[in-house]
Amino acid sequence: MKVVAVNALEVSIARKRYGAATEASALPAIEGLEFAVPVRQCACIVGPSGCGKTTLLNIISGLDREVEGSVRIAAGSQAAPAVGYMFQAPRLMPWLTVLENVRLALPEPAAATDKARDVLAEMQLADVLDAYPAQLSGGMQRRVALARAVVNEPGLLLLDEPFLSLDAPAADRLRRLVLDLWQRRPTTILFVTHDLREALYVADRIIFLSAAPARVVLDIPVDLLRPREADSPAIEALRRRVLDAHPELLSGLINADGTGRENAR
Amino acid sequence: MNMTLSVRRDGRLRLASLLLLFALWQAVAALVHNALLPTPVAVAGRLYLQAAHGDLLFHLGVTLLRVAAAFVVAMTVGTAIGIGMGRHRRADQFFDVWLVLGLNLPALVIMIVCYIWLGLGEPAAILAVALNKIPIVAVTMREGARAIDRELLQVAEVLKLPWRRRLAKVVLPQLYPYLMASARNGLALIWKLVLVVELLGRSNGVGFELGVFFQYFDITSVLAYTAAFVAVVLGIELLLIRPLERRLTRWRP
Repeated sequence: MKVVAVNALEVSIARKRYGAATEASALPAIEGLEFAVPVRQCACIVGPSGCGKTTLLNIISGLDREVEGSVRIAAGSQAAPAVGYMFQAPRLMPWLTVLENVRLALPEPAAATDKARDVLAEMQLADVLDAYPAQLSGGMQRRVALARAVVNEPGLLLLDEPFLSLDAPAADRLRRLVLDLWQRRPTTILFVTHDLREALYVADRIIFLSAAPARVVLDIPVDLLRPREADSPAIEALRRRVLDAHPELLSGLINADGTGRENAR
Repeated sequence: MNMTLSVRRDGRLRLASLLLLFALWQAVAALVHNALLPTPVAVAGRLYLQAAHGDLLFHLGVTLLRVAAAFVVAMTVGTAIGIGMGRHRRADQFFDVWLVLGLNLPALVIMIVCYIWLGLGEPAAILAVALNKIPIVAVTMREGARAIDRELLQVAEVLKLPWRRRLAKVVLPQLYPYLMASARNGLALIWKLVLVVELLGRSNGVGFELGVFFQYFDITSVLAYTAAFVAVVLGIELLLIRPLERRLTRWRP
């Protein structure tokens, strides 16, 4: 019998305009964007800055409902929310301690504290449970934000360029942390970035978007073995191969002989 | 270490300034030697007499109860109106004129109208004071509600927080600075207004007593009552509001 891969996420967006949906004159941010992510896949979305990646995540997470199209998310396990979302900025509550910030994602019972403690320990934050976010470094704040996004074990984890403003070693460390976490508790990940190296390092598959209005221009599997090395020749070789085939891929353009159409812009 | 030192020096400076004021007052009063300008020592003596043998404590208590009642009503209603207007643009546009009107109604007019419509009773007195303060609270809280961080609200939405936790952990902490500002200004304004409504239409309380002393030109008792009342209000500020504020803002670096 053939096993049919179940999709954790199915996105089909006909059109999404910037601003209020009622303004017909507003520029479209997303147009004709369709893709699906199978359960337990780590998929990266790569696209030029301002192409609507954050808008896309806001739609998937349910924050933005003014959209023509549909987003289907497979129900999460138990009573846990289906989606965990790590934003570009940590967005921690400055008046709550590290532990309280993570506990916020869990329902009230006392067991929540233990669980939050465990996840924070995994992030090597066990010594700063009672610190306030302002007392932490940028990297530590991201780790708290990551802990908050995963502590309730969401079926789908959304990551929006979460390591953008970190220095390279801190970003590397966090990337490895995300992958470790994912190996131990497999979940579906949608990771947004504009950095192809980062995408090749973490992803099973990369979905390239065009400039706004965003649509899929290329969708490639990444078959590199895990665990990967961040600067390994294999990653570099794959990067070269992709960019040689589609030199303007990172600006959201693709050659006419590729899978997508030439972008009119 | 450094901070405690500078705080202590600060305190000493304040104390010195206060002592100088009393010394000047004492000197001038001694020089003029007139019953209409009592010395601080005389006022202190009267204060002791009124507290130990007179009705000062009773009147002080009555007035504080009225202050507390008006404070609670004004803060609750003003905060609700302010948040509502800050969060809903249409409501804001519609009720803005009411707010401007409320801010500019003379306190005395509100008091007279309340007493005439509701009778010379306790509800009218408290309502009159609260009505004076509500627009001011509403304006401050409207600013606070407008400043609420949308990004943090999105976090609450993604985490699917029930409204109680959303309010307690995400919304209210952002409003605390505005609430504290309202409470502090509110206390200062409300106790002054309470004295006036007492003078106008009550038969007890510090305001009523001040009216009686006025009729006898008993300036020593007026100042004694004033001193007692100011001391109580300062005590509330130092022992209640400041520690509360420190607790609420301890997360700040």
